[in-house]
Amino acid sequence: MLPAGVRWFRSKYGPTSLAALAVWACLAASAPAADAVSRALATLADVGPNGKGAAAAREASATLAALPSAELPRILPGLDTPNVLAANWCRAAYETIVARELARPKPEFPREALRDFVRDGARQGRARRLVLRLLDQLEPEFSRELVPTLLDDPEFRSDAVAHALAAGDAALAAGKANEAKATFRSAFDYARDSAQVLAAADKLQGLGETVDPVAHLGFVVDWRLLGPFDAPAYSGFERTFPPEAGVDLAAEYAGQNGKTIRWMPHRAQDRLGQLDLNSALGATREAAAYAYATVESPREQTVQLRCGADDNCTVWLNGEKVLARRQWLNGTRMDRFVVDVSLRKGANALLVKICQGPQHKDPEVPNNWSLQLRFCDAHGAGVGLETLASTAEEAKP
Amino acid sequence: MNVRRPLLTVCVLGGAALPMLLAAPLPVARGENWPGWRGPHRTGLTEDVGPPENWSSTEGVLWKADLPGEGISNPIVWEDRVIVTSSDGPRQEELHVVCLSRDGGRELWHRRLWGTAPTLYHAQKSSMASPSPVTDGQRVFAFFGTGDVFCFDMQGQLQWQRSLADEYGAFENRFAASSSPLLFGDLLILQCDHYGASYLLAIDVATGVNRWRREREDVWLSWSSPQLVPADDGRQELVLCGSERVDGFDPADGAPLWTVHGMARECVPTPVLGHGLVYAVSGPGGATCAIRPGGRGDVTHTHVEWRSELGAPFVPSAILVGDYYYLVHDKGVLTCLEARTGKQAWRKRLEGAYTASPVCAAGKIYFVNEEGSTIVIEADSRKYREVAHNEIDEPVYASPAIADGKLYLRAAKRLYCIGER
Repeated sequence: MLPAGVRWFRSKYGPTSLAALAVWACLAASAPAADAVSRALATLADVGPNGKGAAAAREASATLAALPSAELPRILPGLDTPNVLAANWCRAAYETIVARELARPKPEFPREALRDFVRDGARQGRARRLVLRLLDQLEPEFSRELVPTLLDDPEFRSDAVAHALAAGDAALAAGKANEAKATFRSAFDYARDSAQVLAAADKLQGLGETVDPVAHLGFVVDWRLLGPFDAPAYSGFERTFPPEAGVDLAAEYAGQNGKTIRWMPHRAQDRLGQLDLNSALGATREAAAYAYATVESPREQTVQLRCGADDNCTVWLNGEKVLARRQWLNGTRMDRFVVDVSLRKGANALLVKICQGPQHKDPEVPNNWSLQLRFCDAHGAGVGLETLASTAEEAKP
Repeated sequence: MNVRRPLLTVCVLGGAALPMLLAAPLPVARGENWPGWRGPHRTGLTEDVGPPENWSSTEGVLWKADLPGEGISNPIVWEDRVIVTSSDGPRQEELHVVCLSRDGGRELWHRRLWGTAPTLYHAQKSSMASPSPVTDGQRVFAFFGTGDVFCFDMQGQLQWQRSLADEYGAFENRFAASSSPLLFGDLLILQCDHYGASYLLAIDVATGVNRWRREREDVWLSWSSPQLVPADDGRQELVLCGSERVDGFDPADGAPLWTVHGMARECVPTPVLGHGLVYAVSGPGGATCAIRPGGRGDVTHTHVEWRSELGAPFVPSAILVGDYYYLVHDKGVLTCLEARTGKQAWRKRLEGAYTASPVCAAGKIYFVNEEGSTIVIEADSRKYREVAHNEIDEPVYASPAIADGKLYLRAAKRLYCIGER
């Protein structure tokens, strides 16, 4: 015979709710104490390389997994860490708690605390996205209202820009050209993803407004080029050619096949600043070339230099080698390499060596020879530098 | 590793075992498992009964299960479970390890984790989940292109994890890492060749701690997986292909044993073995070398039984069945060489393009193209003899698995279990 209180509960709320209450009661009784939670989080935070702390982390994660869903806010700090190992251990507990609660007939979560966590742009983006995914199941309207406002958010910027692009399309379809233009302009201003930048630029172009993706993303496009130097087989990366000892823009050199080569101005015409050396210097193989630019910074500042090259590249800034990657046949990709660099106030000398290897054994593999380089902030926005490599008259493509 | 486990698992009921019981399907007798990349011997072959020769999207499919995200890792099969990995998210940093019931494809557990350092990847043909997981029946090991390694027990509880990207540098790779980990005793061995600092690593399966690590100087980007090969003295050798050579190591401590030069710059296929030889291929336009293990030092001129540049693929691994060695080129040309001599037996142009590696059971070889068509041919034949041509309506880039008369075909979005009821 069940106790009277239990019989009353079952008669009022039914056997399913009774079972849920029983599970909740068991969990509440077995939930770890506050200091145990703190200790478990500290244990997870201590995991490290070479399997350090894994055994203790297993126990700590199990301890946290026993918490009821109401206690989720106590473990959110464990997700909000740059230590991905610690975050994963904590996530295992989080997922267990969430799955258990979602399986109940009427799941209950501390929604306001979860919403606050998602709204806080200072938290780890991956953890915010994880929690938002739960909220999407509980109250999809929260995401629909919040995400479009996060145009300057480190985690949800692209989502918000995508929303803005869609909103601009909708406005355009409704015949509201001015509203569409303002929306696309906002999308362009906040976009850092190159595809979104170009999409917004195209939309604006269609509405009669011209914007500059190259400046927006900070690509260097005005160069002086020198090459090709002869570099048999894969020797170009290791070999030192005269510009590495000092750039003399007036000098002439013996290039590949005995041809005299000299610095020549060139402006890359690609919308994303891609410099095609096959077009600029002539298609060749087993060679090396140099690109030079003077970059004017309004102040001393630390910025990101991002670049990619095919076949590989070495970058010097103010005479200091800041990047070198020996990656034959690895293809140019935007932002493949990222390095923090210090710019002086005023002129900064930028020199890049780009190698070209032999033709791939498969003749259908194109023998690309290219460079794409930009200066930007940590989020990928151009930092407003002037390039003084060439005057407008010189910079013929 | 003993992969043949006819079993009747007995589950003992108890309060504490309830979650485990919920995750466990009923015990079923099973044949050979498919525990990792390319099956029991990492060669694409199984001695198990063969799957059906004919099927379509609507016929012969016992079940199909939706998969999260993307991935070209092959499904692995152990007793009553099928395990698949994938990745998704804005930067492909969301990693998934999914365990399905072999009977019905019901999700038993699904673990989601964050990866450390997503790399570039091919839009269709790769993601962070290109390496296949591997299991010893007690633990499941999953390696991802983000440079992360995870160990779970068979119930999906995380046991340990490693961020190799944090420890040794992010993988620098244009198509994402795809080398599948290998089990050797109590070691999990990973070939980490990329444009950063490359290395070969052996991790203790129980603790996740390094047992040995060997720098791979003068090695660059490669997608090949390591292979174990028996040598004449009864020991096993660890064979790696990449960076214009094939290298043999002692798997116990990573000591280098021998090298054969003359491969292509970048290597994707995994070496296979038979006739006392290891067959390594790299392409396109590269060579197959049939190498006798057991050498020391540079054995390019002493231990290469034959060398051929016929039919070398870029991505699909080769398959050796009996006296014949089959290479399917990415563009669909199937080349059959005599395994003992390297002489061409026949060539045949197949339909479509190929990323998946072939598999074989019961004398039939299954070649799956990128459109989801499977050509089934007779193995060990002096002539091309097509047995069947099957279609499903979904692209396929992952290599299939075979276990207990079923073919597990991982398509772009779903896993198909093909078999007879």
